[in-house]
Amino acid sequence: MRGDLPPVTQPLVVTIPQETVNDDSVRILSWKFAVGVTVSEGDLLCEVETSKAVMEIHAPGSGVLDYRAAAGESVPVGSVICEILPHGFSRAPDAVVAEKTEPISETDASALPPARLTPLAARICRELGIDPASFARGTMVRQNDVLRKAGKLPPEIPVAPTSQVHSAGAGERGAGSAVMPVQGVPVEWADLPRRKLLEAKILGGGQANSLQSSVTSVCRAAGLRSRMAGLGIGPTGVGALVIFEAGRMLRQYPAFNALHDRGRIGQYGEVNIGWAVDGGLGLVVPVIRQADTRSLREIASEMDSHLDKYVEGKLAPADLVGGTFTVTDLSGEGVSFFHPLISQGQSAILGIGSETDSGGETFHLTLAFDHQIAEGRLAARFVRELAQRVEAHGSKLILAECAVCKREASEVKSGGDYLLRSEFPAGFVCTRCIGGRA
Amino acid sequence: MTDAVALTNDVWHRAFLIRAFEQRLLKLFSEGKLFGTVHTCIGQEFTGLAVAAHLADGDLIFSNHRCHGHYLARTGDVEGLMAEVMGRAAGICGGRGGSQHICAHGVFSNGIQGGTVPIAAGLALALRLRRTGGIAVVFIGDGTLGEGALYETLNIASKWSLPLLVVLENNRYAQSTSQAETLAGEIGLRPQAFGIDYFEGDTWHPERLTEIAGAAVRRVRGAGVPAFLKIDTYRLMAHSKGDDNRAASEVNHHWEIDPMAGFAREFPEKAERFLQEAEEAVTGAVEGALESPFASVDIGYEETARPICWNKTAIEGKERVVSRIYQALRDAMASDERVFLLGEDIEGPYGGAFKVTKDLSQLHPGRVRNTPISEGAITGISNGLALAGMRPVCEIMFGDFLTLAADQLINHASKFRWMYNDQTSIPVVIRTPMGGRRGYGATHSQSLEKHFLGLPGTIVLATHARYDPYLLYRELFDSVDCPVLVIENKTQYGEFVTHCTAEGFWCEHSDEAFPTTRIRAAGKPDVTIVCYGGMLTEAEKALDALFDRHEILAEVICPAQIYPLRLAAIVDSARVSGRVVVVEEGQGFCGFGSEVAASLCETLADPPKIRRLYAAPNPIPCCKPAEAMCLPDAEAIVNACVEICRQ
Repeated sequence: MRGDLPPVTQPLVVTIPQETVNDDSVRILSWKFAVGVTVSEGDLLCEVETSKAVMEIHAPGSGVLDYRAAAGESVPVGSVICEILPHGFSRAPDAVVAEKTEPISETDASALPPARLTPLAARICRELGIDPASFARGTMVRQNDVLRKAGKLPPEIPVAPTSQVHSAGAGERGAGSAVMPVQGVPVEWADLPRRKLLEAKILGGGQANSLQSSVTSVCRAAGLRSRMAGLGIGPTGVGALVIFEAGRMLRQYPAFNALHDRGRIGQYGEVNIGWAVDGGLGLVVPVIRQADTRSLREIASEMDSHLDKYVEGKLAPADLVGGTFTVTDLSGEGVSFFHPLISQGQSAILGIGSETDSGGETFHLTLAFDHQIAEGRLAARFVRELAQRVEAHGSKLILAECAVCKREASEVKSGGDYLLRSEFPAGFVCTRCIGGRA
Repeated sequence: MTDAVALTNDVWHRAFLIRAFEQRLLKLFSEGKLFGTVHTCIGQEFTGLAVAAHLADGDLIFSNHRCHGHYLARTGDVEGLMAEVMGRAAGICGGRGGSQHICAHGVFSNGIQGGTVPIAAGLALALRLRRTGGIAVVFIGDGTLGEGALYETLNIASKWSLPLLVVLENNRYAQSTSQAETLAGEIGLRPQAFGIDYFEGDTWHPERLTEIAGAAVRRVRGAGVPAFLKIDTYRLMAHSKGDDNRAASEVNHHWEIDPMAGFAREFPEKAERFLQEAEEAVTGAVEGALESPFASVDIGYEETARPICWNKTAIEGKERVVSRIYQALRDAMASDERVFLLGEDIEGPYGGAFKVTKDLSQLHPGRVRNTPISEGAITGISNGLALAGMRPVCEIMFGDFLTLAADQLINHASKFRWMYNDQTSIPVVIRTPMGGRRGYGATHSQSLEKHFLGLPGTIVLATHARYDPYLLYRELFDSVDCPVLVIENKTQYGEFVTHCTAEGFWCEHSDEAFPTTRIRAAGKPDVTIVCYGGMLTEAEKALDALFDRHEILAEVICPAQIYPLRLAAIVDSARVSGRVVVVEEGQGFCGFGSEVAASLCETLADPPKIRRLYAAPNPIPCCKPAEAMCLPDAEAIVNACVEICRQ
């Protein structure tokens, strides 16, 4: 039982065992006790993050807790995390039998000077009770040499003299160069979980910037164009609708309104959707700011004004900055499937293609996304839901009314109900009427 | 004036030969068959002839850009000179020197006015030391009266009693500038101010001139003192080819009074015959030259790398650097009588500003000479001594003063061997201490050696205290016969020469002629520190600090020969460490560090990380704490190594 066992009489060393081969270091998330505090056997000492999971480290015995690495620091796997010391433990070295030194050569051994230790190495020797004279004469001893001798580091893999040695450039962050977020938009950074980092490493071998993947959903919205025209929304109608719906959905799917930088996900505070325009005068991407708060008509009218300016060559830089998501519509070009490329500072882009089939016009919505901060299933849900919402606009559902109460679809919806197709009476019936509530 | 001496037919014949030669050069030039330019001596033919009439075997001539007449007067070698001017392999310098830079049969020339004079003085000194009875003649123009090296040399030649005859061809124009514009005072008073005998003559009285020249030569040869002969004359053609801005009436007048024209009027048949023979000889020379190929150049860059063997350095005894240099000079003087020391304040008992030469002047009287403060002249004299086969060692008191000797190093010493087609060797040693950290201030603390690195044909060494400077000097005297600049270090003079270094480290030296020193420890180095000379002291200190404070294991590579620079040792170390910090005490732009960095980047497929350390880009202040901020030291090296290891 906890606390029942007698306290330790010798220092107990706690190391992180080689749990996963993918890790060469782990990160200490938090210490539950300060240095010098007496802990009992089984106490949770700290939480350590590996690439697989968060590990808990419990005290192997009762005694005084001592550690060097602080919360947030990474420590090499196999090295000492902490020690449990007996009370009153003083760090005078115990008599340790010196290892037999290996002379460099029979004649040279005595001619060589004793091993030279750095002050840090000498201190660690004292702490670990290793005799400095146990190191071969003529050698230069640093802290890692001492730790290695004490078995606290893996033995060094000898490097061939002719190979070039480059110091590893990786810092505490994941690999890759800095990614600049879009200007003028608030960004909130959070660290990606280790699981995600490892996944990215496995998939992309550590490539910086985006790991692009895409999913496509078919959107059967026959009559969408005519419906839009009927609403007075011009040729930009389909794009405007997609932007309208996507804008709202991005609040529910924030992963696609963010960006990745060296192991962190930066969440944009606004939803500004750029839409690709290429009317033969060059490709530009004017931005509809706060698209999630704008109505369909507002979005459409702003897109019209973008087009006017585009044609007159009057699009200003202010029109083109700040996009956090992009929609690119090639449905009018007779393109069905295509793989749009994610813009700088963004993590997703939606492409709209279409093909005319026997039943009318079919749309293909393709979401390309950065696999470093999202994954296929999420993207599929996004694009499927988007397709459904667009389909909903295309069908006569919008124009329908309840055959029974004659409420128009929007009114039904705002009442918390919805319309269902009905055979009898033909057309649609709202759920309120079906439920018998009058 | 009655001409007491009638010139022989040979002399006139030679005069016509010279004129035909020069006129043919102008014709060839207009036909596009010559390179560069030619400075013809038409009208001045008798200057060389008058002097050459009295020269003996073993006498030497040093001339200038207008040297053809002097050479032909002395040797008559039309073929060799024509081929040389035409840039052909059959030329006296293999076509490499061309019109202005000749060397054959005891006649030399170089295209730098003023700088030629101390070299001639050096030739004269060598002749006197050898007791050959020979004299040296230097031809200058009145334009040369503007150069300081002339006066430095007149001073020394007079003081040292050198058998030097200075012949001034006074044609009253320096290129386009008339003498009236540039000459202050009187020409004749100049040599006389130095106590030098003065003679005057002119080429319009060639017999009289020959007699006067004879008197001058006899004075120099007999009394063993310098003399100065001014010969008034006039060049009938332009300074070089077409640039003549003199009044036509003046030029025409001198054509009329030309002595050779006078001879032709008086002896037309002889003149006709001489002219024809001259033309034939010259034509033959041209045809011969045309058959010879152009000068070829074997462009050799650095030698191919060969693997380096390292030997552990073990130095017995404990002597200071200054003593080892002294001992090397002493032993060299004892074993080779050609060794001759000159410099300011080097004679005992004072023994040199840094006490290097000590009592050498007392051990070898007459072979260790204090000089006036004339760096240009004493370096030039050293060059002349070396040209004549002596082994001079010239001390420039402070490396900062090397600038005053720059012309002699750059335009003369380093060029002679190649320019003269390997006919000569110039075993001159110039030693000088560089370096600061003594509070001497901006003009006495510099490390200027980088301005003298990269002169092809020279070697630059830098001594330090981890390899015996005695051995460097001995190798130098035993095996080297090209100009060598030895950079010593003021603060290192007092250091003990020893192999003892930072704890755990040891010294090794390579098997090169001038070895590279490597200070290393067991284990793979994290960074390579490359330095030379005085900076080794600081680099060595950095080793300790790097290991103890930062757990960085560094290795020092310190070449003794910094030009030509052999990369092998640096490359070997850089391949292992992958990081190189190069440190020099001088200015960094285009310096030693730049050379190392560029060479490493060119040579290695995967170059290491490189960082250079050098002096701050301002003059060195006198105040020692401020000076310390301006010069790289152990701390700076440590910081650079830490930074480069962090990248």
